[in-house]
Amino acid sequence: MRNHSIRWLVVLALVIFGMGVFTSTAPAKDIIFMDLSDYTGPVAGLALPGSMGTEDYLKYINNKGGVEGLKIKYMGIDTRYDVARAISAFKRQRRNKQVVAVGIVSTPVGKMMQALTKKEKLVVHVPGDGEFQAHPGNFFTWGPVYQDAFAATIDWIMDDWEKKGESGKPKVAVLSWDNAYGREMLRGGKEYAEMKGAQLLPSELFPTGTLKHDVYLTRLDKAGANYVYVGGVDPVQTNVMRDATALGLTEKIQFISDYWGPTALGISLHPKALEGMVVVSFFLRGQEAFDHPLLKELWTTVRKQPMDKFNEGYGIGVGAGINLVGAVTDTVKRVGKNKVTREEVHNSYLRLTGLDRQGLAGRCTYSPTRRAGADVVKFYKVTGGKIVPITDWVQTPDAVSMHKWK
Amino acid sequence: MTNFLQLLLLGLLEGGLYAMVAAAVVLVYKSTHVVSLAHGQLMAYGALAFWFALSVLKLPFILALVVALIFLAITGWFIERLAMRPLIGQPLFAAFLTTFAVFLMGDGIFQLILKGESNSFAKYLPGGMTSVIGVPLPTTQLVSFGVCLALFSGLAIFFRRTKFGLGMRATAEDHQLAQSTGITVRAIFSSIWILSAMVATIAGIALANVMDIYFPLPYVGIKGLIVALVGGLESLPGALLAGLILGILENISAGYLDPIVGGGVKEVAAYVLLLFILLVKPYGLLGLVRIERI
Repeated sequence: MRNHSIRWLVVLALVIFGMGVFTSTAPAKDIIFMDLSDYTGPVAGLALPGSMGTEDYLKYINNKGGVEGLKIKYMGIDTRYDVARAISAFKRQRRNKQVVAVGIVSTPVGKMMQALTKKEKLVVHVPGDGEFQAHPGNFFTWGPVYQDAFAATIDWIMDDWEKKGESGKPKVAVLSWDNAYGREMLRGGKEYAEMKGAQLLPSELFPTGTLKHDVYLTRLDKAGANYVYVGGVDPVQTNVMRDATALGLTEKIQFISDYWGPTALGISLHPKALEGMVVVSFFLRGQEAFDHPLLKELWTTVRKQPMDKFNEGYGIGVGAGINLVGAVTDTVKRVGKNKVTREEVHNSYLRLTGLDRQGLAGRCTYSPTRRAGADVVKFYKVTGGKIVPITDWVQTPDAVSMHKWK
Repeated sequence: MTNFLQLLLLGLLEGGLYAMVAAAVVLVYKSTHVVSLAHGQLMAYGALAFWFALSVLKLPFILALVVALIFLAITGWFIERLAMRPLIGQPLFAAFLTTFAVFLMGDGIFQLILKGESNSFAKYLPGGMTSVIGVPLPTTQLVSFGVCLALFSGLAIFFRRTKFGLGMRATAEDHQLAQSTGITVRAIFSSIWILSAMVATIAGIALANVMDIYFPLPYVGIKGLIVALVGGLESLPGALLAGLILGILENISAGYLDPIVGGGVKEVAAYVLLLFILLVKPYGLLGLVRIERI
């Protein structure tokens, strides 16, 4: 009996010892970036190239051996700008500990995910919702938040108005999607515009699937709009300009696009209609993007596509990929590659202040108090069928803090 | 006043587009009594085929149109042969659901082809602005409205003057009677799907000329169905009338009510009109009132 017990104790000790050896020598498991993207639907024009950018950048890093041998796998899911699809996809992977960060393109999905994950330290990449800057948590925006970009545009408008020698207040209107994204820029942006002396006209908001914008445009014309800030994801801006040109409004009104359009594609479809449109952007556009060495390399060697099929939205995804790799690198340095958890990656995101994105966008501004990915934007103008820069990087004002957040 | 006139004329032109989409739905219903949702997709694929022939294959305009029409005629025949014919004699609801399935399947493929981008005929067809009685109107919409009028005239001649058209009308009246007069009802069914697919192609091209080939394009087909219901499912003149009414109603109501209610009126106008018409004229504006003898 005694011999029997001793035998069992020896076996148990060997098992425990074996487990210890096994764990200490086991290779670190790959980690996953889950991209709840929209390969189809209203924002696919932006989401698809953006997702390609992140996927290709992660592949590029993995091909070079990963982060200290740790590979970051890309898991892309098409959510079609549909909150239910996105949440369902997230819930299927929620317990998967390999998922250390999530990407979201849709602002409405972001709002829902915020409620779902507010107690978790899971990094979520989102486009530019200012609410996440107002209440810093686990959501990180790609660039400056929408209201800050709108505020920078108001500054540009006031300068332009003065340069034109116009008197009185410029009349500015927002023409955008009738959803959480479409209104976001005004939460703080409205207060900033009023403070700077611009006259904000009632916004014209339309559903995402709208094909014609004549009614909204004729109303803005009647209201005497001087500047119209157009939201939506291209080809929305392109379609708005197509309709505005057909109604003869582009000669009276200066149209300005928010971040998400037009790309080289939109310009190639309606070059005449888009002529003169100003675009505010936190990522490189036009020839600047086409000529960027990293984008060029990734697009042609990882994506294996010719440059004439390149979309500038690709750079957004590459920028987000650089952030993720930067954070994982920091995590590995701090805790070792076997202890890369969601919480640690989240902690690393808060330390990314100043990360260089190779000129694709401004330097990263994530910090313990800041969730906006950058604080600079650039203004471009469609000229001669091309999108050319008209300013250098300019600092975005802080419009978020001007809004009374609940 | 100019603003009202502009909204009215823009609505009229937009209504012509809805009428064309509805025409395809009416054609199928006239002969088969099937309410089709699939035509939203046929319309979108028609526009896509035309764009492909025009800008990728670089064919001349007429040839590109012929290619698109042939491609969609084959597609229409294919749908009838594979999805609709096995349902002859089955409840009409099953056929309706089958067209819905075709719509969903077509939509998935359409979205995958587009990949979030859009395509346009802007480079190939006339654009810009034309002034009509002092009101600036998009040239593309004027052209598309002209196509609409030509299409309805052509269909009127086809159904009144050609043997085949008369055969289709006879089949619509009574399948058995038509069969007894020597009309091959199955051939008529196939032909009507081919014809309606070709009409949907023309509607799709006219629509895409104004709105581009963009992901919501097939969903205009849903509006076409509403127009067909409002006009009376068997009536082509009803489709034209209802389309024009809807276009005007949408633009005028959105133009004047949006600022009061905060927007979105254009999107609900069609459904309000449908509800109203179904309440006061359940068979539609020019639909056939069926009296059942007991």
